[in-house]
Amino acid sequence: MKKFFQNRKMLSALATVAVVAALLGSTVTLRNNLNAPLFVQRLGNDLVSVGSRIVSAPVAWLSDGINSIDDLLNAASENDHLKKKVSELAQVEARNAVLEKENKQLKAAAGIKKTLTSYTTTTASVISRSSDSWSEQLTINKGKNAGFKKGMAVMSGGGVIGRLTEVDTATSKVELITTTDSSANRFAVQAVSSSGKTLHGIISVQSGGVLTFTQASSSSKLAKGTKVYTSGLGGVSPKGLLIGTVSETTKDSFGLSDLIKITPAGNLSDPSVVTVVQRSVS
Amino acid sequence: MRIFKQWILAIALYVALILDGVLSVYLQPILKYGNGKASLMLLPLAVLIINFEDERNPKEFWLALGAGLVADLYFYGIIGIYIVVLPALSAFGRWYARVSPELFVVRLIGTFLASCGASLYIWLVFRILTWTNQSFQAALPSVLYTGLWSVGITILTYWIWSKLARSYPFLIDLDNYRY
Repeated sequence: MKKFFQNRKMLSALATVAVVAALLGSTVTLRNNLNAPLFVQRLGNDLVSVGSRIVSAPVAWLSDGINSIDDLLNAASENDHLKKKVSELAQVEARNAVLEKENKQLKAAAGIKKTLTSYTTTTASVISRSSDSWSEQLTINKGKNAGFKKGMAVMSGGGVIGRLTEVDTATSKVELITTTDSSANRFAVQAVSSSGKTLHGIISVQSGGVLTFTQASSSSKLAKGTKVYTSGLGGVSPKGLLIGTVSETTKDSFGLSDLIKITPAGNLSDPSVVTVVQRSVS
Repeated sequence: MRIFKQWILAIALYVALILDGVLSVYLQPILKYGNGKASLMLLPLAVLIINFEDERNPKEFWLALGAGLVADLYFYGIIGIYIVVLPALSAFGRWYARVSPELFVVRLIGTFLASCGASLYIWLVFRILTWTNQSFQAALPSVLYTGLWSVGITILTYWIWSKLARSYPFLIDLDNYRY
């Protein structure tokens, strides 16, 4: 033991491990508990983000150029598909307008100003992404200045892709919905079963980033293709944001409860523009 | 101008940090391969190459530490990932340059080993923090894939970092040696 304490290299290594562990522990706690990062961190992040904006502009331009060639090649088939959709859209729009009007009148009659479905949206661009293989974090080019707050839902490509985990002055960090971080907040969701019953639950993530509908409030079955929306019951996200569709229902590894797998509706692999959703009801 | 020259390497690392994040957004589709996904390691590889080429300057270690702190806060909002990886790569780079022959192929082998080691450390930290639930076996393809990508990036960028490290060593005024 005496020899061990006389070995300076060993002691330095131990001290380094202890310092790193303490730094990790304390900063993770701060990250999870603070509503806004410390001033020094905000300043540092905003300074780096200035460079990111400058660099990402030409890179995005180049990437868009390459993508547009691909778009041109797919234009004919996409055009056919969109023509069919457009012919259906007029009827949907008309019905939507009537329902919206009716909804407003009913709310006014009942004296309700804002509900869980009321929200405002802000568009932002993705300027950076964590470069490692395992974490799922994006940096977007708007923050506190745009009225963002920690926990807000983020959408891209027609579905929810994650939520804000850190809001700096001019940038924010987004943790993707596929993160396996057990301390991350989960989305409270709902779906309507084939029997017409509404099931409530939360979104969990299995290994390989597979989204699942867990802690279902009822044993009613969800058919393949059923749409899963946020329920607004989590306190931060509004109601009615599309999470994805049910792809498969199997039993969990213990064979006791249903494991409802969901195909995400949002563009998780390559989101370059996102929409941050701020719910009106606090 | 003399002071600016001494900080050129730090500015170049700042650019590498930015490029790491920006290119990670746009290269996502090609970074994935089967169940694995490569990490883009422009910044760690820059630190490694700088130390291969400037192994006698201990100030490079402090530069790596500073860059690690900034990278940690920018990418993750926590401290303990790059702040360990970058100084460790700096120390490894200097040691490797002293003990191995000065051959490009040998340096590429060092790059492969160092990037796999760095990738494994990042996986281990995420595993401890429960930011990932991937087992070692599941993470291994990503680690190896990262190693291969790193070799490719090293081939493409070695001359830039080598030139910068030799011409503008961090906090050393080379003008003192010129007359």
